[in-house]
Amino acid sequence: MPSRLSRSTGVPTTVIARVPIRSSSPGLDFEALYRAARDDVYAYVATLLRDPAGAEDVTAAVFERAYRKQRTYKASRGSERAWLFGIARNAALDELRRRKRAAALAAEPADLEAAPPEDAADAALQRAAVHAALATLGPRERELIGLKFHAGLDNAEIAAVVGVSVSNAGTQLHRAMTKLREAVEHA
Amino acid sequence: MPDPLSPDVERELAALDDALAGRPVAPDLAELGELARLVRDDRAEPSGAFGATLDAEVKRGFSQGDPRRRASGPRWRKGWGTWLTPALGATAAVLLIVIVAVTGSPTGGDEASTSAGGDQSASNAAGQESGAAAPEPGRSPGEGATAAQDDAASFAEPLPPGSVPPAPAPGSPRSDGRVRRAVERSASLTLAVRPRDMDAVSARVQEVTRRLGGFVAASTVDSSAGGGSGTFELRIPTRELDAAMAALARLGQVRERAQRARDITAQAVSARSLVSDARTERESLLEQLGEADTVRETESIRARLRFVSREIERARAGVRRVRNRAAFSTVGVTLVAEHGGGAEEEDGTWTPGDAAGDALRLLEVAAGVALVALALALPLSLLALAAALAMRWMRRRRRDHALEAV
Repeated sequence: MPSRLSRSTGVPTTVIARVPIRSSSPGLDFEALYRAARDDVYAYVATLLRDPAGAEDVTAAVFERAYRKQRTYKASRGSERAWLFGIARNAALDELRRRKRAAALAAEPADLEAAPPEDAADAALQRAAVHAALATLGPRERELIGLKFHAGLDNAEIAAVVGVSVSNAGTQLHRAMTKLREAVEHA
Repeated sequence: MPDPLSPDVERELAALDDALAGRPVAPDLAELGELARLVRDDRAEPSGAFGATLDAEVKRGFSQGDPRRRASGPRWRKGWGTWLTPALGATAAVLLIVIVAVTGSPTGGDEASTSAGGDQSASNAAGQESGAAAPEPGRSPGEGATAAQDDAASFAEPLPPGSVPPAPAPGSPRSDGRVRRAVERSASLTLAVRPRDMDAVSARVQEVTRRLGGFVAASTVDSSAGGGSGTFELRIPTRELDAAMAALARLGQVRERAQRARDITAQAVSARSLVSDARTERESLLEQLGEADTVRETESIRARLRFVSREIERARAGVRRVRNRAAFSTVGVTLVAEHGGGAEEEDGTWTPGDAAGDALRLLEVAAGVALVALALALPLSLLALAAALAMRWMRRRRRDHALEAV
């Protein structure tokens, strides 16, 4: 008489699932935040510094600082992205203050004449015009543009990062966009 | 209070969000939506090498040093962060030490604060009863003046327990050039003893007095269940005074202690002079008696001799009194009953009551230390808080300034 099996049988394979590494901070998944925000942080810092090499240095420093300070994050104070971009802003401003020349010596405005108008597509021409117009903005407007369009923060997160109210952040952002539109039209 | 956004501004901001999210934008704001997409597309992207390096750093948990870190954070933070905390700690420690040193330790202060002062003068006990004459026992005006002079010249200062009055400096105003001086010394001692030990300590006081060659001039002992007291007037040989004080002090806890010394050399000299003068007069009278011719003259001289002999006896008694004052010191011992009193040598047992008392004193000391620490920590904390807020404000200002300076 065959023995009766009480356990599952006939399972051909064993499913192995990768268990995500849990961060030491219960309220913050650092690796997930890093994966989601790495390029955004770089884009924001690059917009502010206008220096790709400096942006890489600062971005690395931002994530190192965030990694070491992740236990200090409190969800009640705002989203993880707002917290991370607050660190990024401080690091970028510290770098600006240290160098005091970063933006001035950084990437020059794009030379519209360098692009062959006859061969360039309209879209490329428009991108070049926008790039040149961005370079004419002041640092505060450029920071707001970077947070909004390059880092992908909403207005509430921008307000938390910059330290103003949400309506004030919206007003400043609208003002920056107006200046940008004017700069594009004159480009 | 921030101003609310106007409808047009809100509409344009919403159009920006719609364009970024890929949602349709109103036709009149299509140009704005296109601009938003162009700005978004203008964003910088990190190089692949940088992304790979940073990914590896994150996986390692930033365990190794990275030269990129030199761009992280203001430099002053590292400098301040490394020595600010130790500096604050050192400052707090120094202030605490200064406060403790200024306020002083209460240990031993009880005896010092309750020690009574005493007149003291030359205190060389050896041979201090030397050379006393024998005047009449009644005080002469000159003797009274001398005593008053001694009193005026005496001085008082607190004496800690166990100390010995110092000898006067040579050539002091009190000095009359005599090598051997007569000094009258006295002392008083107040001892705290346990109520149940009152009788035993009283007996020990008398035992110490007898052992050192003294005697009890007067005593009153009142012992009861709840307390009691005792007073003793002891006469101790002056050369044993210090030993007696030390032995008596061991019988209880010293609450008050005083010693007094008074130079009575002038009184001793005066007493001796009276004896000498009377003897000289008697010798003269004896010579006159031998040369007397009449009975009447003889009777007169004999009457005078009887008077002079009585004078000599009185003067000798005066000399003996002065000698006694110098040879024996008066020690007043007062016993007071205290539940926490008693010398450890007297009773080595450590009762629960003693433990409770010790615990109470320990708590008092701990509370005092905590109070001092709190008084120290509170202003320091406020200063540190103000400094932190100021530094934070300055840092924010510097960052804003950096943003403006670009």
